[in-house]
Amino acid sequence: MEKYFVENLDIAVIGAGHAGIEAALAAARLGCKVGIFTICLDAVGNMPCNPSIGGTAKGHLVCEIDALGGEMGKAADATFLQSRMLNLGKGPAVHSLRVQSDRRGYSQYMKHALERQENLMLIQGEIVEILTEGNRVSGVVTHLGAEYSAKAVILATGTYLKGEIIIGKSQLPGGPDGMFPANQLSECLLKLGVPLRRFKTGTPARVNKRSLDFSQMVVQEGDEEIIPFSFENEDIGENQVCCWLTATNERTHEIIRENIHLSPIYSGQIKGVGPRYCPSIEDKIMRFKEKTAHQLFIEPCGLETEEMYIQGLSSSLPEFVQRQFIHSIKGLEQAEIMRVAYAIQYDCVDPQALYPTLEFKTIDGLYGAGQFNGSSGYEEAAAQGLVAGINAARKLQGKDPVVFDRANSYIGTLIDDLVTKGTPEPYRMMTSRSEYRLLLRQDNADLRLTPIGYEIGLIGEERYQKFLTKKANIEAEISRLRCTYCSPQNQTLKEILERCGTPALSGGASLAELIARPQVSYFDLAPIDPDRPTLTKAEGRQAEISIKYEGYIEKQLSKVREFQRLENRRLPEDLNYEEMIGLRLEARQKLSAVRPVSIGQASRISGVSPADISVLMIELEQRKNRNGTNE
Amino acid sequence: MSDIICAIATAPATAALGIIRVSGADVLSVVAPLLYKINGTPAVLEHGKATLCRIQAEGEVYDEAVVTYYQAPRSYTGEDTVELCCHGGLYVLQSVCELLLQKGCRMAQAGEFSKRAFLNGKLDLIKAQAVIDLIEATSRAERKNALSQLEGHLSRRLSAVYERLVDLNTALLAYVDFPDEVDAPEEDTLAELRAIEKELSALLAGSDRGQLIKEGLNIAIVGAPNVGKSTLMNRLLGYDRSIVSDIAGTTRDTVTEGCRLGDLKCHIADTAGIRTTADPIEQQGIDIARARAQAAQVVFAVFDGSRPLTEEDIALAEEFGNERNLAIINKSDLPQKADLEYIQDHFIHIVKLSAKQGEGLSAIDGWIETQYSAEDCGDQGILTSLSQAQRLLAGRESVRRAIDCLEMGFTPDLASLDITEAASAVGEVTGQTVTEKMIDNIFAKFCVGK
Repeated sequence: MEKYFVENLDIAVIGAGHAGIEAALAAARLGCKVGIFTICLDAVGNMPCNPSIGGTAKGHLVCEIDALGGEMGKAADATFLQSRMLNLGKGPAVHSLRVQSDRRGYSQYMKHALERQENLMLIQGEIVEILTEGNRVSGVVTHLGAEYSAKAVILATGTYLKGEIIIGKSQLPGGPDGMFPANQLSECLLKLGVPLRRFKTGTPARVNKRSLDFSQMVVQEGDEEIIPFSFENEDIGENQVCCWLTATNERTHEIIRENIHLSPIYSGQIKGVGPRYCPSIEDKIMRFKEKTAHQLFIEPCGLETEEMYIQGLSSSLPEFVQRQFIHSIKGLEQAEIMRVAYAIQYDCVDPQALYPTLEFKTIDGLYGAGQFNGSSGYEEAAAQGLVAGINAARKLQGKDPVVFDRANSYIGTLIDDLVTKGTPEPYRMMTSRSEYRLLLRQDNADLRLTPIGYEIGLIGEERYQKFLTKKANIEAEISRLRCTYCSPQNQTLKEILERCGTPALSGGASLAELIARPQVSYFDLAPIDPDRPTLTKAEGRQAEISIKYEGYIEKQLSKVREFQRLENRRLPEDLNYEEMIGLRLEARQKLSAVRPVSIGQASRISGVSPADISVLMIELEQRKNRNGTNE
Repeated sequence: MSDIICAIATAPATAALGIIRVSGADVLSVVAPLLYKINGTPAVLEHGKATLCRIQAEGEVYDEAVVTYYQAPRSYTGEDTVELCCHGGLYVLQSVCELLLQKGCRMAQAGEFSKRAFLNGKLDLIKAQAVIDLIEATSRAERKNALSQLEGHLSRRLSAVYERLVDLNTALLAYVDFPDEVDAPEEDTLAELRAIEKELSALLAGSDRGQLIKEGLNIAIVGAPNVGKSTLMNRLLGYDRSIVSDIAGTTRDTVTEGCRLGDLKCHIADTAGIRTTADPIEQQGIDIARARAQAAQVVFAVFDGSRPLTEEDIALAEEFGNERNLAIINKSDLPQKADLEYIQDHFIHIVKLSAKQGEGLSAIDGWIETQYSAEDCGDQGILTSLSQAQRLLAGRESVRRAIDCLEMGFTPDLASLDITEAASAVGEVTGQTVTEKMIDNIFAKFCVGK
């Protein structure tokens, strides 16, 4: 095909899904000239699976993205239909926000955000080639031969690369939600030495609301108090929809068991690796034979549509089987199926080929983000997009990379897991993946990350000043609570303690000592605390958490210090592990493959033992002595 | 890197002196609070100066030691270092080591002091390869050792504890990460934690036994002057080691020797007769005798059966009488005049013998055998290494914290942090890693996902 030159760009972003959007916005806001390419302009920021944002650990990611100046939290706040704080009965570390979103509204919001952004061009076109000069990227070419030069390229291709839609025996090329797949880019990537592999995921059917019998389902309402994702927002309105619960039954399971031979996975027709946390209904039934029912959530897709999403019912069985089992479910007996469930297979990269900046180790200026990196989920994708966008921009501007670590964020944990350990299946964030989860709460994402966002240049002066005030207010309130005492004779206090179900005081105690009791909240003590300053609820809550969990927080902080010591011992890029004396063979191979940036990262690679780490430290020391320089 | 490590730096044999080396940034923050001058005031250490200190914690005296502090970088390792020159018995050295572990030190791996010395530029480059070799050899030996030690019953018991911790946490974590799909754990988390704590305590009790078999039992012979302690010592050893005379206060120093009683290797210390004295040298011997007796696992309290109990005897019975120690009524060949009832009020275990005639000595062997028989711990598994015991100890601490946390009314997701730590500690002994395992378990055991 004949190529023709169109435009000089700083950064080309391939894909305008959740990863591509954050990457493009961040890079453009940092002053780079960015082009973002999508196969279809009507699928920008699409939600081809759940019409929802957030959830356990994912809510944390959204708040972190917001604290760093990303867009996802604001878009979710602007287009939410129902909001729920999950795990409210548990500790603050695992409170997670989840909203039902207006799928079209969200997509529209994001498209408009891209369109309005200075330095940013939103372009419909399939990228089929990445141009390189030596081992550095130099541009991209569309399917029509349009050539754009670029100093950095961010791959955010989601499930489009050689996408295949599988429904029963039907296995056809296709992207998500009826889009075209991107069939040509994979070949170019393989030529560049990108280690591609094949993952699989799936989505359930959508049904028409008008055909459902809600009288047979349990309604699930949203929260009364609605907390926004974005730290910039306060009041974002009310719930506009509700969800419903129903469940599969013995009959549903029978239908699936009878037809299991028609499942492309059970028949061996498809081989892509699927995620364990997103099993198809046939998987659930075959693996958990003792369960006689599986819960299903019926979620609205938007205000201006009757489409409903059936969470819990992913499948790749043939359409006629899907119809049978859907109609066996309470409330869905007459359901009109609008879109059938499908499995999708796609090319993605082994993320161990990436640095923690998400740049490829072997190709200068090429970055990967989102599902292309082997993750799953809109929030995981957006987090990586933001990091790739920030680092690509900084590289072009000659600035040091910004690396998030396991101790400061879920974003850092996500990326460290991906690039250090790789992933055998599409990776989903979970609170149990973070060893510092008491520190990495959703509620303090702004306290943790706003200074970094400000430093990077994605958080403006006004917001930063607001943050500083909040921080100072919290600190002052903690000190005040520590040195404000109350008497055991105080009758109001006696009543409060009794109401909270905790013993009366035997002697005087500070307010902080009272808040340290798990049963007593900061807000419970308002009646006996006349000098309390006017603080926002969030500020009061922060003061309370700092006091109540002080012992645990201190312990985690001391672990973090230990962690940082190893993290700060950088490994030079030119280390030759193959020739390093004393390393075991497995360690040599793993270290050569991952090329860790620090001793800390090296220690997390499976197959690298403490003895191997000692050898690395000795090597570092020898180099230092040889070079006669200090670290 | 700069956590504080400690280890016995001298050869593991009974010798007159043994050195414990402690190294790491700000080592004094851990060690100094344990050191007192002989007059009881806190000891002050200066770089390069040897100071006589009493090692003491929670009112218990562990040993008197000559302590030398080396400030970084002027030390062997290049870090802040303290060397405790203790009395040679392994039991004393291990007790001090255990105390240091309790206070936050970590057991040094073989070669680790040298490794640190190297990393801090204290060893020249030629030694680098030697250090690597050492680390390699050690990790190989450790692996082999770990395997051979963990076969059979012990391994099964430890693995069972590990699995229980992981299962408990899996349930908690699944409930946290998939709140819409997974119900709160049905089993009583607190009850299960208490059961695990008990099992870990049982395993740790076994570890004392294991130590005993490996290192031997430390026995101190105490008594008033002239009750026949040295005669008894010589009898037990089978040769004359202590000087025997009728002059009270003949034994002024403590004499320690190894022998075999019953089936057990023992280290017996003959101590100075305890009485009130004006002689400062004798007094010093008596002080050492007391310290020795306190550090011993078993005290043989010797009384002269041929005379009424003296004030000194009564004081000794009060001091050492308990269910653990043995009262020996000596001189059974002479007419008996001592008030045995008084002794019986204080001791459960009493034997009568004549050290001089060699009569009734087999009763001591018999007693040792019944008290410290190795038979019943043969098949239940014994932890033999201090570092394994240390990890289990840490694991039990974490379990206890989790129990406290739940008892105080905090939510189980908080306790899960402690449970993770407990599982890691136990997993270190059995060679399993936690995080991945728990995540795998969530998917294996709970049907979650959209």
